[in-house]
Amino acid sequence: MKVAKAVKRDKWRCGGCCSLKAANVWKKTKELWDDIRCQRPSAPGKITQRSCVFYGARWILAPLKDAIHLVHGPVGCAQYGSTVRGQSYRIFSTALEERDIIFGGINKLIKSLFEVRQLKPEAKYIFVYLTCTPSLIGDDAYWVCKHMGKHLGCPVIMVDSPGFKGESQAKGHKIAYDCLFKELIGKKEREVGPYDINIIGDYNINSESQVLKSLLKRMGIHVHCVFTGDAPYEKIISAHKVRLNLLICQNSGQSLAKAMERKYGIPCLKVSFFGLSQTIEGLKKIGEFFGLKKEAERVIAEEYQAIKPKLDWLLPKLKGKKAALFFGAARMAILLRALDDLGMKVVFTGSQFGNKDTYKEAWQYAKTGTYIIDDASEHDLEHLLKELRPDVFMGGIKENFLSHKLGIGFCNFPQPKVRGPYVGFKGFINFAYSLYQAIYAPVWQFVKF
Amino acid sequence: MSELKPINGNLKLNGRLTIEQLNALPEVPIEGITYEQIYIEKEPICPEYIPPDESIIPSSKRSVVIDPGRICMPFGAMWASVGVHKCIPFVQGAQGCTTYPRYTFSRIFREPVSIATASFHEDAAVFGGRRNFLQGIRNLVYRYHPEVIAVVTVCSSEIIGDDIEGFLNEAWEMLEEEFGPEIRDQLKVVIIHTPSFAGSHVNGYDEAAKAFVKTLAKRRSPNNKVNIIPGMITPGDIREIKHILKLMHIDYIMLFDISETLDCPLRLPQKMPYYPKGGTRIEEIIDTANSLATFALCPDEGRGAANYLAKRYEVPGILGPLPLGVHNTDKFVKTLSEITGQPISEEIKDERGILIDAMADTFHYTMGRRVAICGDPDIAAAATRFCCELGMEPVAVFSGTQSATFAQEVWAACEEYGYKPVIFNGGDMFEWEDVVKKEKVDLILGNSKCVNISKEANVPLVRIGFPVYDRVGYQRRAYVGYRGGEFLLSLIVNTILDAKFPDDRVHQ
Amino acid sequence: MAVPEYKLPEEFKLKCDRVIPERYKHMVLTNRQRPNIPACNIKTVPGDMTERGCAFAGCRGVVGGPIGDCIQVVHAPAGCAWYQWGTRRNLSKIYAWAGPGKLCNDSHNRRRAITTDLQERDVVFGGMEKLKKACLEAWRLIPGAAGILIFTTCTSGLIGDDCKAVAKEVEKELEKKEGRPIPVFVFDSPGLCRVSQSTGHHHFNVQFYEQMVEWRKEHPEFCMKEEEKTPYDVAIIGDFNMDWDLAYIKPLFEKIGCRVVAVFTGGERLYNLLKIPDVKLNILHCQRSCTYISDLIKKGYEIPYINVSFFGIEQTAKALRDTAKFFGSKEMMEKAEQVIEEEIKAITPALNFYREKLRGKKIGLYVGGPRVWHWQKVMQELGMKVVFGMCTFAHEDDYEKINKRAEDGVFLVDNPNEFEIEECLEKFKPDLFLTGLKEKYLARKLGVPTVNSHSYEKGPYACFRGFINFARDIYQGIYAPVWKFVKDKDFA
Repeated sequence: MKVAKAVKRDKWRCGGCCSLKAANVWKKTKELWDDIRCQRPSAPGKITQRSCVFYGARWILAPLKDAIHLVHGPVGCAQYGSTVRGQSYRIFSTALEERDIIFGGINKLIKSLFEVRQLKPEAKYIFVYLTCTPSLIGDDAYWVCKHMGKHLGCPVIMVDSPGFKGESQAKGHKIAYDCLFKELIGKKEREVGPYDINIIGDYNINSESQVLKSLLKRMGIHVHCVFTGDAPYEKIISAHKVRLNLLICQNSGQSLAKAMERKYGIPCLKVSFFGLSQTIEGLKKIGEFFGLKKEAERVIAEEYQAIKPKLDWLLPKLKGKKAALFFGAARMAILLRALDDLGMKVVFTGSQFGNKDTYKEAWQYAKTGTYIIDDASEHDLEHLLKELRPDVFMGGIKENFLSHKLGIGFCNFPQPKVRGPYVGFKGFINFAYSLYQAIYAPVWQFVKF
Repeated sequence: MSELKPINGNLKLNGRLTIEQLNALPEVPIEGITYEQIYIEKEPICPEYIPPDESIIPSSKRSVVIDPGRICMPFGAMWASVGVHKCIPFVQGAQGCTTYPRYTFSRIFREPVSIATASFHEDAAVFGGRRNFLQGIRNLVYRYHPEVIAVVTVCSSEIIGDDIEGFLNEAWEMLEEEFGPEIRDQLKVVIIHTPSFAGSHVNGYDEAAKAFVKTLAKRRSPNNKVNIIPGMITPGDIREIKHILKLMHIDYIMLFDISETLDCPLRLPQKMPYYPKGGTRIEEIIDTANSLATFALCPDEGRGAANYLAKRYEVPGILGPLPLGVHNTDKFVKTLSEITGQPISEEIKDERGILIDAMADTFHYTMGRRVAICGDPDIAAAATRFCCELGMEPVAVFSGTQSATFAQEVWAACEEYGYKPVIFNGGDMFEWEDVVKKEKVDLILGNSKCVNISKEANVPLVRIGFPVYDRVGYQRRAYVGYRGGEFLLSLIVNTILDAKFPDDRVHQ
Repeated sequence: MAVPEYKLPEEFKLKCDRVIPERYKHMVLTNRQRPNIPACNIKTVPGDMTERGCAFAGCRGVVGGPIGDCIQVVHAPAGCAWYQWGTRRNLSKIYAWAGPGKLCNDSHNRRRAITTDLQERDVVFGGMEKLKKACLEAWRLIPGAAGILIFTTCTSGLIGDDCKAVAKEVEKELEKKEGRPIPVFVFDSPGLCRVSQSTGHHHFNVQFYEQMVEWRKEHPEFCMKEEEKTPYDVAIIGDFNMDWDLAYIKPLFEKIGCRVVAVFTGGERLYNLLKIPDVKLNILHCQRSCTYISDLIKKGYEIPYINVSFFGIEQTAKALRDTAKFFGSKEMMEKAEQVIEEEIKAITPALNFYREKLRGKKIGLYVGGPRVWHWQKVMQELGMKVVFGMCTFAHEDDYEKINKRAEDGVFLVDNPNEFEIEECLEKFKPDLFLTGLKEKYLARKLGVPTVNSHSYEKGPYACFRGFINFARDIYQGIYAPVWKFVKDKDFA
């Protein structure tokens, strides 16, 4: 069980020739799996694409609309944290200043909690995010939250997310889900319907949650709570009363799914609704679980018919094109398969903070010769793009403009509002059309002058 | 000071006051209340909607012209003349034929424009315009000391058959008598025949350009310059062309340079009479016969002059395309480089790269958008190609003036990118409007006359071309060249963002 | 009227006119006792940078254009129609349909330019056939109009098309098609007619009157029925609804108990205009462009008219008082006093602010004609001093009024040209120049702020409440911070 040897890069004399052999790059040569070393802290001085734990926590919790989000720290963190996945959210900050650092920020936190409660009396509960600063000065925020909860008459949940706490935002995801699990889920009982499920790991980008809910509803499945794309307080606290958890983003949602399985015995089904084959597979799996096979088949047939003409137009245009991927984590494997549906070839895939499971999955679906990279720096990506020359590159906003400078079309994830949601059948067409745009934009013919 | 009471929560009123409320206000606020703040209930012209007769909507099937996309021929001639230093257009026609164009110039450029009239009245219609011509020329010379007088004829003088050339001979005799023979060196007179029933402003500009070089150009020693006939583009555009030439280290003669006559700084004190400091010098126009080549950026507004210089003085003429968009600007720059032997400079390559970069960053917004385009032929054709380059699909392309090359140009660009738009070559805006409203269009590229159409069809408008008078600053911006392309691209994308994603606050 | 021999003091003789001394006849100083009338209503000297428009502009643009519900066909090459297309802010509330349940974005009179677009062959072979076809087609393409107004221009005038005959034919065909009479009126006013746009006003007045009388005779159903009439029916003549001036004018008369049957022609419906001869009194605002029709109606239908001004406090109050006095109703007189009092109370606080700011400022005035005398009193009410006045197309009676209303010694210029304007701005150094679009940019280049006095900046300016808008625009003009920068000597 061996992979191509990883060769240490000469840090000082990197001319670009050695990037495919760097320490964090693996080429799939055989059908065998070997350890990929991941979840390590980025080397200092690296232009990393990763982010911090607070960022990860916000990523998960931002869509919870009926909560108050109070960031305990200097204002900067709150400012950045108010934008998540290209959406703006109202967010509060204790705006710690020099004297608070010296004398402690507890008083300010308490005062702020009273004030935000007054400003938003309709909120059901409160999150207090801890950033680097209060953690370092040792504010006992846990104590404050506990007591303030009693005072204010609503749960005050401390999200212990100082930026330095883990190697990447992935840790923040876990912390956030742990908070939900420990502090909220299971607080209220309810009658369970025969087809009630939760979705874990969908964040309602461009109304994705709505699309999924309506798709599942058509085969008789009722979605109780979508973590966290559509999760009102009432539904979160009774989320343990369902028949099944659908795990969509395995990297961020895994901890919650596992915890619920352990504590409440709710089974978990790993599915994805990106790409045609995975959507079909997902629906079939769900159908099988609930004994709704026929319904699943019907929905699949109807939806497929609806998109077929457009698909027929797009497929020949995308067939054989080369793509490259670089994401947070879970989409690595998912998109590999979605691109397979389109007949496209993936030249490399990678992630900022994937864990062993995600890499293993990616490895499994990648074709021989595909490169896989962990925690790529800007430099790494540059070299990969230059040497492998994909027709289109998929990733987040930070990679977008780098790709353009190299004359390579880019497809942004999470998708901008330009082209509706990418999940489900119609979403697959949106996705394919975005790729078409990126590859066929007339601008690329002008790049060389 | 009293405050305006909040008006009842009627959405329709949207914070405006009805006439009744307005007149019942116990106290008028210091700021007054303007017409925009008064709510007037629209009253339909007739009680029920009656559909128009579909069968005669295409302009080829009717005589009446509704919403013409062109104005009169003398206007184009005046446009060119205003771009010459110390040149006063003298309109051999009625007062309206000067006042209307002046009004239009002022609206677009927000600048004073001096145009003299021959003050035609009934007597001129009966006895001819000779007396008006002689007296007018004399008065102009006496008071304004112009360097050039551009005599622009109009419908009336052409119909009554004024022999302007004959009049001019008489005028010279008169002037020599009065001012001495030197006057012939101090003053040039150019005659431009522009009866409006024979063409539009586009043809008028073309006529004027031809008349200027025909009257003034003289063979001398080669000057190693290129002639540029810009056509009816904005002062900002002309500055951009100059900028490109400067970066290429090319000497040029910019004909009809309105960049410093129709966009002048406000600086005191001014000399009297007010003459803008810019404009093409006569010396330069004379020298056009000795240049390396003539670039008529808008073929329809310079073909005549370029052909004349080519035939008479063997100065090769390059007819278009208007350097708007990547392909067209590339072509312009490459041709410049070929003709002058100057290499394409690094700075130009960088500017091009910035445009390409901007296109790469925005194609997700532009691609697949259906666009309707309206304007003068050369601008509309170039804008169509640029839209194709942005991945947009031209649906209806309209030129108000009939042009020999317009349809071909548009067709070529669209064929290259696989689109099949409806092309209107010289129709009226009414038929184009009908297509815009019926087809699902995402965006309109057009002039200020498209505002109503845009509002009624609920399609956003990007302002370009002639005339833009309902927004400020457009005349100072460049649409041509790489930097102009970047400006136009930003306009297009921002308009799309405003219209399609009004609530998106972040945009990653 | 005999114009007394007048000698312009030497110091007022503009330098730029040395070479054409005949221009000095066009300049006088005002005198309240013995009005000084400059030479006026005379053709412009060729070669002049005149600010004048043509007869077509006066006929189609100023007086005819505001009519709200007609198809207005311009019989000419496309340019003439284009220039009149939505250029003046003569607003109207009448809108054509843009689709089922949806009205157009701009009022009907400003929305479209409809023209026969005469071509070379039409000029050679005549354009009558084309005009007829065009009218009938326009009727099918822009449905719902009340009638058709045809305007001629230089081209159609010179080639001698008999448009009246065409109109009759179109009328007949439309009647056949619609089953009811449709008025098709012709206004023959080629641009080169007579002196200025004032000619066009005159033409429209006379020709409208003639065609109205004929139409009423042939189609009595268009007259107002006896039972509809009230004793206090009035028509406002000569207001073109600039920036919704009528929003202030009409309610004032309604408040004192009058019924405004029609406004000639601001945004009005054609059928209402045809009822003007059925009113009891005509209230004449623009006494340059519309005295003609008031006189004709007075002669033909024995309906009297009163001259009024709707600008400023004193003049608007007088208009209301005169109207009440005409009707002789005590109740109306009392109401008028009450309205005047209320209105003055409503604007006094704002007005005091502007009076404070504007006191003693110098104003140059250059408008078409009547506004130069309409506004003398207005400037006085704001405490400002008019240093010179200019008119594009005023006649002797206008200058008489200016003399009467202005202070003594105001320098007047008739039909000034660009050069004279420049020199006056230099010579008199006004703090603000009230003028139109073409000249305002010239004034600004000389560092003089302006207020657009034709289409207004942000009107309405009429009556009491509009006065505040007017004062505000003047104030904003003078006090705009930009003028500070203009005068910085280091950057001269």
